[in-house]
Amino acid sequence: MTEPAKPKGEELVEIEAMDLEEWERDKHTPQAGGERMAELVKQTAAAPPPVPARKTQTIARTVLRPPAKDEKRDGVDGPTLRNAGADLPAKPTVARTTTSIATNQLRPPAKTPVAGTPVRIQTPPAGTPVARNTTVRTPPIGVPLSSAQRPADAPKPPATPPAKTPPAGIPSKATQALPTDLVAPAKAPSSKTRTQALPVDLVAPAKPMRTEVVPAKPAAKSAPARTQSLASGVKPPPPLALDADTEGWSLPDDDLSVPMDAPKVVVDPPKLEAKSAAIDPSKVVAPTPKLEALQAENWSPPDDVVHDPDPNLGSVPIAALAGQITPIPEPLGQPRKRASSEPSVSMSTRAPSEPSAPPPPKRAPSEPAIARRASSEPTTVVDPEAVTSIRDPIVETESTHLGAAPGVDPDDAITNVGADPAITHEITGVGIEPNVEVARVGGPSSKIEVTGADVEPTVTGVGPDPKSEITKVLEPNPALNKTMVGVAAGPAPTRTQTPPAGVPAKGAPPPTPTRTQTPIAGVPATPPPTPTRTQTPVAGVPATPSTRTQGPVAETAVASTETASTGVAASTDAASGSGSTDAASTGAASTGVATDAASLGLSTGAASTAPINAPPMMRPATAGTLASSSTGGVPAGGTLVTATTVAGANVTSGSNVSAGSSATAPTLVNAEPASLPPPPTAPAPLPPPPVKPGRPAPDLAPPLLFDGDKRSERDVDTDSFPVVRSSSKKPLIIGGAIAAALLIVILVFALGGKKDTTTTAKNDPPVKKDPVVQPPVDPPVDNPPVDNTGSNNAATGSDTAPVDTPPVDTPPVDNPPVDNPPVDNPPTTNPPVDNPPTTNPNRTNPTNPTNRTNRNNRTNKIKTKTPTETPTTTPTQPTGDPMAAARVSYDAGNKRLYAGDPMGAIVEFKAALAAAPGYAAAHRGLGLAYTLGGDKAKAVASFKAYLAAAPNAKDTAKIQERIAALQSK
Amino acid sequence: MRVRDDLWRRALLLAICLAVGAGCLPPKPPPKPVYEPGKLVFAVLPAESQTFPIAARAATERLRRARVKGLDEPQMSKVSLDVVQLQIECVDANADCYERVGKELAANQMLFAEIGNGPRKDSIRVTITLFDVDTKKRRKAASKVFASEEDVVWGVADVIAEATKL
Repeated sequence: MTEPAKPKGEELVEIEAMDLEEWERDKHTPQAGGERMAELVKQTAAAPPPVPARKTQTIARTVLRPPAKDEKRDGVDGPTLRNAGADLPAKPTVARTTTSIATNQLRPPAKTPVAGTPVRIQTPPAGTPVARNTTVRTPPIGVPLSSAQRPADAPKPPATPPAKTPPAGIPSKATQALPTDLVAPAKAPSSKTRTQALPVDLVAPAKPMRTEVVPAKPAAKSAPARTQSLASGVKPPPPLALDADTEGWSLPDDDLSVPMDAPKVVVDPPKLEAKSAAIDPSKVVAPTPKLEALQAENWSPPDDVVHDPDPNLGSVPIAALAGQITPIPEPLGQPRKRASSEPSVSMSTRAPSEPSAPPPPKRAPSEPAIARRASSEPTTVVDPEAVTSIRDPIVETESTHLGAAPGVDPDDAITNVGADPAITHEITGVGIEPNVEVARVGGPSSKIEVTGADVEPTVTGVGPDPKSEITKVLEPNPALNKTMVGVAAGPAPTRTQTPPAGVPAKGAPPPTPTRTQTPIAGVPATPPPTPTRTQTPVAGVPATPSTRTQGPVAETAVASTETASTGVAASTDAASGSGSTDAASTGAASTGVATDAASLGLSTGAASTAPINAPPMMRPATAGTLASSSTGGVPAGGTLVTATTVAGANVTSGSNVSAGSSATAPTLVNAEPASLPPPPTAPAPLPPPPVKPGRPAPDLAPPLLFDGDKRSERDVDTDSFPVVRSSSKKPLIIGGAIAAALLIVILVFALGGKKDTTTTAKNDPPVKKDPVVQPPVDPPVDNPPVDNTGSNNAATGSDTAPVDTPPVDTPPVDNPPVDNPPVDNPPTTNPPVDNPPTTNPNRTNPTNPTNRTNRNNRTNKIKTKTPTETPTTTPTQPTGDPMAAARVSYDAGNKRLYAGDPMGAIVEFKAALAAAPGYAAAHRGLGLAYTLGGDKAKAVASFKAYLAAAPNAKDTAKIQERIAALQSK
Repeated sequence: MRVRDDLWRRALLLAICLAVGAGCLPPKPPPKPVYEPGKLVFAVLPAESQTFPIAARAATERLRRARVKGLDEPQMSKVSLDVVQLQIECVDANADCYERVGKELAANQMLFAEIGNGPRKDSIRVTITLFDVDTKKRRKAASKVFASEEDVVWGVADVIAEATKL
């Protein structure tokens, strides 16, 4: 074992160094001298005999007290805070934890206070004298005092009858306590009674220090750990309030002088279902009959029921606590009502007299939707900011028409055309996404309120009314439905629209295209549906008169949604509407431009509730279908009267288009022509819109207004298409494609470059490399081609005669193939330069001798097979001094050994021994190599050979240790 | 419109497929380590003790994780200090022998542990030494006496940390 030396000037940190003397020092008990000891003995003799320590225990007691007449508390004790989960009501008795000295008692299980309850029993600090008193805690405010705590002049509570034994069968309660004033019955209780601790006067010597135990039958079912001795027949004195009470220290219970073999009287406590009435006042108030019965029998409930450890908490009346409790506004099981700040979940077009849609309860027919919703809101907590962000519903009614948002699908273009007076639109959509584009024609003081939009909607269109305002209510939860609310209250139903700028006026007013929407069967339509709709001639598209009768509006609604999503028809309508100007301001003759904004807006609701896939005529009447007819016979300079019948209510819609709206160019949301197909019944259908090359012509059949694929994708709940606008997709797709192309190019370049370098490396001849080709030396004729050693010698030019050298004793057994990874060989420990005689220039891996060993073995085998051949010599054997050759082999073996190649080292060491059999270091090396290789026997033999060869070596001790260790293993 | 979308979709799908296919190519082999001249060789020698093999094993495991500020990761030697000392026939615990061991291992810095008997019976003294071969001085050393081998297992890390704290 190498003992580290401590050279001077070097830093050596002695963390824990201890010599034997230091270790053994002061390892004895404190000793005193003879004089000192005598003095101490004298002092001890003079001192009074110390009072023997007595056992003190902390016993939880429940003092039964009559209920205090406290009107505020209403006969209810404070909330039970100590035992969460107690279901029993409070009892007028006060539970206190007192500390008394009890004999032959086992400490009752400690009560775990409720979290937050201060611990009241504390351990006295060291040195605190053992007080012989009981801890009488001051009861909480409002809690009547016990007899021991009550002052002398205080009125005495009514006498409590003696406690009775609880009925049998009630399971025992661990901490069942008896009242303090309990006079134990003279008779021994039944076999199932249980003794309990009573306060014992510890000061008065006349009074018993320990409670006497009445011999009784041992309880069969008594739990020893929970029994307490009961002073049967002895009226226990009241506990005294001593100093420890004021200090709040409990006394140690280390008095073990009480004999433990005293019989125990077991009193079965009543079975109390103690559950928490923690905060819920209702549970506290209501007493259970069982508890009342127990109270009538003067049985106090367990401590954990009405224990009131905290006086401060106990003074809090229940009513006050109850007032702090936030009542549950709704009973469980009912869904929480939506707050006013939350967006509407419904999606319907609401009309004052909407018969088909199922009206929500408590909704007045003439009340605006928002107002009704607000009035029906429950008294839930609403964010004030959210409340203020929502406009007053009354104000809402004064606002003008909100543009129709067909479908209000995500990424849909919301088209807002015109105003629709007297129609209250609640366009409730789902998923007004940030990419919502609101194209509107600004009506006078029209307002658009987008509730739930995450981002300010993009309002495009021609001439938004400067007076109009867009109110957007941000909703934190985008997953919720978003409401787009608009209430129309336009003054005049007549308006004159002019064609947008750029639309070539043909000079003559186009014929009036009439579009008639008929209500669905079953939907009462009070006014005659006579709206006429004029399709807007878009720029470059001549306005061709077309009159067609449209089917159910529900279908139209979907069609509008479709066109809005694709930006064809509805947008065209919007654009045309926005391009319309007031005839009074412009005075220009205009082509008849009419937009069926009202129908579009109303149709949203129809589309919302109507089954999408259902045939138009099969849709239920409750789907918010409406009969909307708009008549747009607009001659040049004429007016456009739009009448809309919504669910039987004929509402004439229309508003004067503001003059300001004509100032701007008619920027179309989508400049594509209207794709509204001419109905089959139309006598003169609209000309088909120009179709872009490479684009399929839109199907003009009315049923194909629904995209079949998209219709199936429509979400029934949200009534929205999960499609994304193509305009928003395109950049993503283009970007992705470009990125992918770049990635591919980069990969191609990277791989190609790598290939190029590889090929170059392969093709180019090595610039500087060791000569692989052996020099043209005449090898011995007898050397087989597998004999590398012979060629090695030839290559190195050694003058070793290969013919005369005997073969190396390297049996194949000693050279098993070792799979040493090359990583394990540190280059520092095995430089190839240090192996001159053994290295073979032909070897590609000089650090791995395994191959060479195997080759040697193979060579030996081959030689064995061909005995006629002349055995070759190992390259490690010098020709001159055998010791020098042995040293060389020894060094090589050390290198192998340091490199973790014990087998190679063994070969080298054997070579050294072959060169110089008396070379002792080789034996030692062999021993170490065998040790690393796991061959203990050979290791021991080698070490012994070393000791025999060098008995006086310096490392003899270490070698002997190794031998011993190897032999012991 | 639909046709255009389909085209774009197909193009995107093709690009994704190409990207995924390119990602499935065999990874580039890691570069070979390049020899840096002048780089200090920090060798850690495993502890070996015939008397306290458990302590030696624990110390070796801890030494393997040792790091010294200013030095690279240690190169774990295959043989212990004793083996090298035996082979170089310099078994003394002094700087000369340590220097020879370091040169034998071609290391510039050495960190090794020496485990021996403590002052008390069954006590173990573990000494961790950080030796500078070039200057032939021990840079830092920490020694601690443990009551038993099990204590070495739990406390040798502190000794190593103290010895490698520069």
